[in-house]
Amino acid sequence: MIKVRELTKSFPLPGGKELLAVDRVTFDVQAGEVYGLLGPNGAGKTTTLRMLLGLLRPTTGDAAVSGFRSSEQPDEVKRRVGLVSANAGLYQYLTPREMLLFFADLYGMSPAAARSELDRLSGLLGLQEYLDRGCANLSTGQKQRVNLARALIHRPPVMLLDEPTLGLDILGSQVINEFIGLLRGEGKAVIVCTHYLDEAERICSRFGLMHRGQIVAEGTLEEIRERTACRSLVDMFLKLSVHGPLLGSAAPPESN
Amino acid sequence: MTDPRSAADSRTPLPDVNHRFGRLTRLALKELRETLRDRRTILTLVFMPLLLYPLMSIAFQRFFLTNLGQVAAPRFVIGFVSDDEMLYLSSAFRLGEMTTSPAETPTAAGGATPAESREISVDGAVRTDLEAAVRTLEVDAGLRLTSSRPTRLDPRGDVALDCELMFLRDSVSSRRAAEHIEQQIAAVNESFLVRRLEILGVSQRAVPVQVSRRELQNTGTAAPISIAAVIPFVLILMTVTGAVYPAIDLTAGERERGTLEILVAAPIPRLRLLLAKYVAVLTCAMLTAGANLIMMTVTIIVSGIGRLLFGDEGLSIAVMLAVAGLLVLFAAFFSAVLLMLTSFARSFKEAQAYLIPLMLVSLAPGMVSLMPGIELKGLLVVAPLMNIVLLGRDLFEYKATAGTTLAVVLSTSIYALVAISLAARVFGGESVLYHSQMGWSDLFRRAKSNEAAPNITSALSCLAILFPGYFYLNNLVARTEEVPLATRLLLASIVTASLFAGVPLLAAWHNRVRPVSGFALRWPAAVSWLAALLLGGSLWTLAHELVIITQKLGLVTLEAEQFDRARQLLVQLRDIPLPLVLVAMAVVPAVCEELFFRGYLFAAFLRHSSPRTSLFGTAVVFGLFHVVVTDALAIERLVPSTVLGLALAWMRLRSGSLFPGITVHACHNGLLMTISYFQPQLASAGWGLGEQEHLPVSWLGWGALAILIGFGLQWFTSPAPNQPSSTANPEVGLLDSPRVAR
Repeated sequence: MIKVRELTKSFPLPGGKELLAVDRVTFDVQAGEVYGLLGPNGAGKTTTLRMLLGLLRPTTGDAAVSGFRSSEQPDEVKRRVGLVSANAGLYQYLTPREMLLFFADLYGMSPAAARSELDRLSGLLGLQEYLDRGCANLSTGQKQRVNLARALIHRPPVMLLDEPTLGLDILGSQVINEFIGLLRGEGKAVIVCTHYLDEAERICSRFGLMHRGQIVAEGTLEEIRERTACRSLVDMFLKLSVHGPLLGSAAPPESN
Repeated sequence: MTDPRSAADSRTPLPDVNHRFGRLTRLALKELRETLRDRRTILTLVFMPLLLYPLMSIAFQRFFLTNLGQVAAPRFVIGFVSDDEMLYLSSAFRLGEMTTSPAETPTAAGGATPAESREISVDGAVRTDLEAAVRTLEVDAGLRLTSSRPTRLDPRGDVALDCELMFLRDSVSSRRAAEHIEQQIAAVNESFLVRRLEILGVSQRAVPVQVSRRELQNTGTAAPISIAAVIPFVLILMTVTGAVYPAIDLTAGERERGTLEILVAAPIPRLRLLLAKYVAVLTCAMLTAGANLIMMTVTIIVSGIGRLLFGDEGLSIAVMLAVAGLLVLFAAFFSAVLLMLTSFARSFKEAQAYLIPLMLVSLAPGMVSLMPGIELKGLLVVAPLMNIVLLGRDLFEYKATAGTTLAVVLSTSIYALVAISLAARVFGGESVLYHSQMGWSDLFRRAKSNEAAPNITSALSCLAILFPGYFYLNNLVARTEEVPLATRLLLASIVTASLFAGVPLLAAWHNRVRPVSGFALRWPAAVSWLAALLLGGSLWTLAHELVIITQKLGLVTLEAEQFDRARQLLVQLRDIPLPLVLVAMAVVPAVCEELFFRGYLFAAFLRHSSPRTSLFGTAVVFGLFHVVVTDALAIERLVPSTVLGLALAWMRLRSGSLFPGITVHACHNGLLMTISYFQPQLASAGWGLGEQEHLPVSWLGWGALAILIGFGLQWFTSPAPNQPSSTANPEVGLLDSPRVAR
């Protein structure tokens, strides 16, 4: 469903320098699979997703969704992808219903199909009670549910979730994680970018550990465990990506 | 739980025109709904005009109209050396009772303007040192006797009375007081003479040569334009105010709220997103303009200042409609410019920083329009913003002509289109969306990869350069009448080549558009050459008939003098060798115009729209360009040129090549030039063609047959054009990715 090949992106910096944000990243995600793209802030996860969706043009390499290449047929890719991002906002002066129907229209759905999907998603995500309230008056958790519904309203076969639980409380995170499980059940190919490794362990079937723009390890949890001889993702990640202590050394104060 | 359905795979990827228009409308409505729910918009839209116009009216009445009143009914102080002289002279010359109201001032007879005299009031003052009093403007003018005075001015006997009138040359009020006194004395003199001549029995009238003055006013309104021109200027400023906030909110605001990324992640072309935003901003601007216009009208009616601003007829419906039309044009242009600038901005703050200089720059043309002596002609007709403001002024003064109005509307529309397409280029782009180091320079940076066809932004930018460039340079060449005609032909060819070939070639280089696909420089099938020759040799009959029909319908804007000049030019052309004439007037225009209209512009249209839209779109642009002639706009050329443009675009589409179109165009122009060149010889052989006559039926028959065969040959031997895709143009090379199931 998703193919990423040697995807590389560098950004120009002042003074003619370049920042290599993503460095020859390659992976595949099949239908019904939840792929965890994990790594710390600045590892290149979001940039990879943006290139996959055709929002950023790769410096080299390519990505494809259902056989459509992101750099050449971005509209076909966008049609098949739902994007949920932690930074995504809502239209403050619209209600969730208006916003969801607007996005359904953007994706070319007929009004009848859009209304039916809206009813289905409202039921699933529990949006009914605030469907006609202004988006400006919603809580963070409610906003994120509306965002999830917005990304799913056109029934995409591929979901890209970029830090979907960032800023949510435990209950809010739990709703999102359960929903990701449902998406897998629906046969969607899902990529989840997160730096909450324990959370990823529960919801993802395969992992790509990113560090400084590169995938340093890839596979199922067992495969990576075998390779690294570590139990948890946190240990694996530390072993694969950190060479030496994280904090700088300082001489201990002299005792008198 | 399974959900095998996917909307993405079941939907139609290429919606029809109605569907696309419907979606654009819904997009615009959403933008508008969001904007109008914001209290800040309502504040600008309703409360600003509600407060502004009553305040302005008070200010007008307090300051402006008070001053007007003083000018209209001045009060002078005239100095005399003694009370005795004051009484004598004021009585003799009917200068009025010295502190009377205007109504009590005696009316001057004869030469004085009664209306003016009735409103002037005069005060008297006694000053021993009269000269010093005038110099220090203690009094406006001084009058004293320099001879002995008669008891009364009796016409039954001879009278001689000498006076001295003193006034200060540098003082307007002093000069006007002196003029008033002179007018009164002239009236008294005339009255005296009439009576005296009557008594003497002389039939000669008192003033042998009498000149009557007749002041004319502008038709329709007696508007003192210097004051009334301020009104559209204020309305324009208010319209800007109404458009600024929505423009920022729908672009930079969207970026700041985090909704821009999810919007551009939808499979909608950025140009369409921008168009929806444009419609919303334009609607807000027009609503603001409407609210302002209504409030201004109400204020003017209620406060009663309309008569003073717009003359005796007050605020006429014609003026209202003219101003409303101007505001629509202005709003269309300015909304596009605002969107272009705010699309660059990554935040509200940044957008505001871009708009402040724009607002300041926009004030300049407004001020210029208030200056006397500046006419809407030459380059000013196509100068952005300035042309709208000057057209507004001319509309108020009933001086605007159809040709100038069309040129202003056309050029402004093109600029607005270019601004929108430029905005679409940056809106939601990497640099704006993700704060990368790129920005304004993106616009001028060469493309990184080769493209098969140009994008619409690039084609519209070419159009924005070509329209004013052609208008201006064409005029410039035509004005070089002292230069030999052969040299002028060469200059005209250089202009045509630099603009219609140079500009698109440069754009193609800049955007890395492959010349073969971008200009359709493919070798056509032999049958296309044959069809082109047939059409090139016969289409002129159709064009000629269309010109005659257009003229008979009364759609003629060229004047007899301009026709005469064209005829003279044709006569002069016969002194130049025919091959040179054909190269300059047939081959060069054919090659260069085809490179742009059917090459670059057509490929850009085809990349973004259906073949039908591309055909009609490029044909209309071609037709409009041919309306612009040297010193006027020839509306009668619109239909024939558009039809010709349609035929040329169709040839380009069916043959897949530019060359047949070049052949048709060159043959068509060449044949017309050759007929004109040999007209005397043809006429003497009985083949004369009248400019305003239909062609002989047999000619029309042969022409129609050749046209039918030409089109038929091309039609039956070439495949139907493919439907375009929003992502890849089938004509210019398909990508190797799978096609969407339809």
